[in-house]
Amino acid sequence: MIVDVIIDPDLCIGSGECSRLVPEAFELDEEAGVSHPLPAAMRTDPDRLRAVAAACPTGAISLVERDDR
Amino acid sequence: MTLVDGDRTIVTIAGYDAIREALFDPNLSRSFDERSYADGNIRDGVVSVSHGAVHRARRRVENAEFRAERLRLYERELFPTVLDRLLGVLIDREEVDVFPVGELVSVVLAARRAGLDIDEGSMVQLHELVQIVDVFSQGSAILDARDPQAVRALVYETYDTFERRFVRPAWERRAGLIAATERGDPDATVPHDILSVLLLHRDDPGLQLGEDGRVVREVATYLQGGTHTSAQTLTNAIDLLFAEPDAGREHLARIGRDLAFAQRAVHETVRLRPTTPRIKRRALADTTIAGVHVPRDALVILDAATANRDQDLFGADADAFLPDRTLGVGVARWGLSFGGGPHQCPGRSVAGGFPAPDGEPDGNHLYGLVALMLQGIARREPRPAPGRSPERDTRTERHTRWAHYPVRFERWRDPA
Repeated sequence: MIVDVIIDPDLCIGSGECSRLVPEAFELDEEAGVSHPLPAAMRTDPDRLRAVAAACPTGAISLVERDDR
Repeated sequence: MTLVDGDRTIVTIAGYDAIREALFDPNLSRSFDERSYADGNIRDGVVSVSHGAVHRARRRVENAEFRAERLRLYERELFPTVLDRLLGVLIDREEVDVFPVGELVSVVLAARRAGLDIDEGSMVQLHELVQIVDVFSQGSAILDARDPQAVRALVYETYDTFERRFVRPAWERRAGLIAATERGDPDATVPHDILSVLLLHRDDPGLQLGEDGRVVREVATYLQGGTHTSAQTLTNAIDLLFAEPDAGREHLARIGRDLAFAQRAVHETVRLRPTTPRIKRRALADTTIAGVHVPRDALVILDAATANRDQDLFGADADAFLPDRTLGVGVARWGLSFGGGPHQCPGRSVAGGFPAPDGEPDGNHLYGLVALMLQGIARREPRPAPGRSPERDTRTERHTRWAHYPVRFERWRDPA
């Protein structure tokens, strides 16, 4: 299964929780003050991604799971 | 539960998941008072009562001061020195009021993070700042104040003093440093603090910082938040530890030698004694929370203190102070005490550190400044002061606020 990670830039407040918890999957753009997913995010353990999405204080992270066949 | 009080609807929500849903609802605002500062809204324009796009824009620039690397610098390098020095100065006899100790220790780093250039060795200046914080703390809880008009007048007067004594000198120094860096001066460095980021981004219209008073009030908000809540949490921890003498003594000894346990004790304290027991919101539009209709303009009360004792989440012994309690996946040890959603307390990680991972925390783990303070106190072996009762802060209806908490220290001369 592949998970597409989407961060809503209008909701993100740059708390940095995502890049702290899973630094290989998220990066914080200090200039813009918002996070964005890295290419490695789609290969990250879905359970870790779900935990990050739940930890985001603004609910800016959404996950779209799809079959990789 | 929904009540109609005159022409206002009051909706109280006590369920844990329902409160979380409410905290994320964009239709619920922390803005209760639409007046400007000039008309009497003492918190006009500050981040904690702003909403929507302005709030997000403000948090994006201010959150830079709450990144793990910044917190690590504070917790590992700056705070231990401040803590050691001040506890040695302030706990200089057997019996001491511990609440102001917590305030005086906390205010040093809170001032630094807010962007004030204080003389950290001057007890006179630290006491002056703590007095200012006390007034701002009354202002932050004005919705629960017994005499809101008196609080409003006092806060107005204190903003003037605060601006003149502390903010303006720091502002001028930072403005000079910002100008120097823009000229390319290699010797100029702009400090990492809230005042600096506000000045650096002030031209951004999205932040709505054009009025000088808003900058002053924003700095005041961070100074107050970083001082008062930490001191109250420290005091509440001691009160909970004293409530059960035998277990409390064992816990204090363990806190003195185990910082991870100290952190769990702080989280357990925050769960049982939230700084804001009843979180309030105002409905900007009709909305629905956990199936309950909330009409526009309703006052919504989120009963975090009750939700934090939910036995389904925290166990049949949810009312007890048990720092070692085991929790299910996704349940925070501090419950809902730091809020959630866009207004989640930015100081959560400063005061409480990050959640401890399973097993032993690694070398990068951050325990939070209150755990360090509590450990410093515990090593001096505090006991209830005989014949002297603690006093709650009766100026507010918030039951978790203390005014005085006398403690007898068995090892005030030679901490363990």
